[in-house]
Amino acid sequence: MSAAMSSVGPERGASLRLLIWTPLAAAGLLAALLTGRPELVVLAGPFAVTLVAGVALIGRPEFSCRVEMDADRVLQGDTVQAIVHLTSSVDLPRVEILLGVPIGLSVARENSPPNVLPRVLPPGRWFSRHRTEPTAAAAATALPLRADAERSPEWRLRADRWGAFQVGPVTVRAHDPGGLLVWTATCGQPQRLRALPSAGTLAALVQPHQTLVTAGNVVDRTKGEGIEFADVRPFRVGDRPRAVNWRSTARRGALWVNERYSERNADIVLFLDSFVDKDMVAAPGLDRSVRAACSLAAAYLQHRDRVGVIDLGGLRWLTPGMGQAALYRVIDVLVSATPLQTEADRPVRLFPHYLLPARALVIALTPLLDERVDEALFELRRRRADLIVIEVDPEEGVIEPSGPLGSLAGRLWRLERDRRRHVLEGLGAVVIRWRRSEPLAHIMREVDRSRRRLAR
Amino acid sequence: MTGATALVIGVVLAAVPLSAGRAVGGLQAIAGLAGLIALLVGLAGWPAGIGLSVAALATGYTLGVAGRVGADPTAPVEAAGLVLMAELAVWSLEARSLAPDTREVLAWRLRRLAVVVAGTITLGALVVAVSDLPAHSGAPLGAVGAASAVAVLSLAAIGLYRATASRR
Repeated sequence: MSAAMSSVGPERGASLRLLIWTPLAAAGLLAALLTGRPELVVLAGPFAVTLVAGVALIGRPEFSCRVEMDADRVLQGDTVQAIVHLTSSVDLPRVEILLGVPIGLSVARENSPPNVLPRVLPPGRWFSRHRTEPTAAAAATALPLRADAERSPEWRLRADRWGAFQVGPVTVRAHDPGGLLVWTATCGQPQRLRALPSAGTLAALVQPHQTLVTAGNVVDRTKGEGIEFADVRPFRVGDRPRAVNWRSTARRGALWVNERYSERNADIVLFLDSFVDKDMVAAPGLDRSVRAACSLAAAYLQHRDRVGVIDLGGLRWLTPGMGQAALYRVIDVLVSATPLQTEADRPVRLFPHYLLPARALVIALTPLLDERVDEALFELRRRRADLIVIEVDPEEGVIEPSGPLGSLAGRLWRLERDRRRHVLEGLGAVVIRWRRSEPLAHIMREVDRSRRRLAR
Repeated sequence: MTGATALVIGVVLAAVPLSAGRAVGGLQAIAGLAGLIALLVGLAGWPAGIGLSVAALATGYTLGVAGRVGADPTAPVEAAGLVLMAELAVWSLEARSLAPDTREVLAWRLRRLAVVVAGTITLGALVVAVSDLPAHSGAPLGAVGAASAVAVLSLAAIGLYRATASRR
């Protein structure tokens, strides 16, 4: 989890000492000449000597640096160790090392080396103009660096939220021995870190109405080779002897065999709504949606089903696949989902046809706030897709507007969402509202019950 | 901590010249006050204030020794105080960086301070001693002066060359 050392020549800048000492020394010595007072030479002399000695000690450094992490995937809430390896071509008494930590990660104070004191700082206090992305915290320390001797300060970073992050690059600011010049460089290849949502386990899953022809764990309606008993019938040429039901055979005086339901797998498409309104800072419920989608993907893949993903807002997708590799790909797509504010249309036809197989079970996770999502869901239903809509309740966290007008606006908003829900239900989709307090397993049981009711 | 220490040193440097009770005491008080205000401004985040503070406090001191015959023997101590105050004030500003100093860097800073203060007192004592020599010391003293000027220019040239040249 580390890149090769990258070497950079730094930019040179003047330190505070150079900027303050130079006019002081010049003015003091000039005043001494004009007034003829030796005391002024005594007062200005140290500043002048410091400057001259400092200039004599100047050496242009060259830095080699790389960022190393002990993992590239962690679970949300877990920590990962980040190490910065840094060498310099000359001796430097004070080198400030700042590792950019993106929003969503924080510097964990515990388990840090005793002589390195990472500080969590508010955004915006980043001294370097080399910043490449917003940083929430900086893992920073200042230490001496001897020529060609590597120093490796390390920090533990905690994944506060799920997502795909880039840790680095490193900004290095070095002070020369005389304290006159400051050398600044940005180096080190940023390292990718994926924080996976802490997915819960689901005991029961919603079975799709239709299955594929390949073997899986879903009990199909068709009879074939499986485990679940379906019926008995008279023996036919080609039936296996072990299928003979001896009790029925004895009762009826002819050979009868057991019939079983075949077990197939299915295509599951997880449909993620990451749209955000222009007045909102975060997509409502996206965090819960992603965690739920990860749980569903893990559970369905464990049942040997094929799972695909559509991120409608970000226009990212993944064709259905199966196995552990598919799980990683699905999670990669899911954790890369970010709240997206766009006015662009997102009709279903934008997605390739193989992404939505005819027999697929589509599970949509959406707060039902965006008309484009409604249109996409209507379109899916018109195509007779087996559709489940889990409405991630957006009302929690919403501040109810005050006053009669605000209350009226709130009511209208809820009525509009009710209307959308009823339209979807009218089209035959199962729509279940998911409140924050409810576990996903409970929602899946409710979905299952609703589908059974609809089937009757 | 470093900022507060710099301020305390500044107060002492502003107050000491006043204790002599000279005729220019009013001007010294104004210079001292201006020096302290400039130091506060410098510590608040305007680095030029540190330079102005040193200049103002040095002016207050010089007003006290103006007209005196021969060099003031306490000048090296005054110079050490000014250098110490300026170094601590700059340290205070540098300490506001995101990166906290490790113990090794703290030790280097303290060593550097000690060397600078000791060097200031030594150099000051030397200047005071040289200034007490007879005015017409002849060619040897002139030669020392010329050699010093050449040495300073050479060091400056070397430093600039090193700062601009890439690694060979």
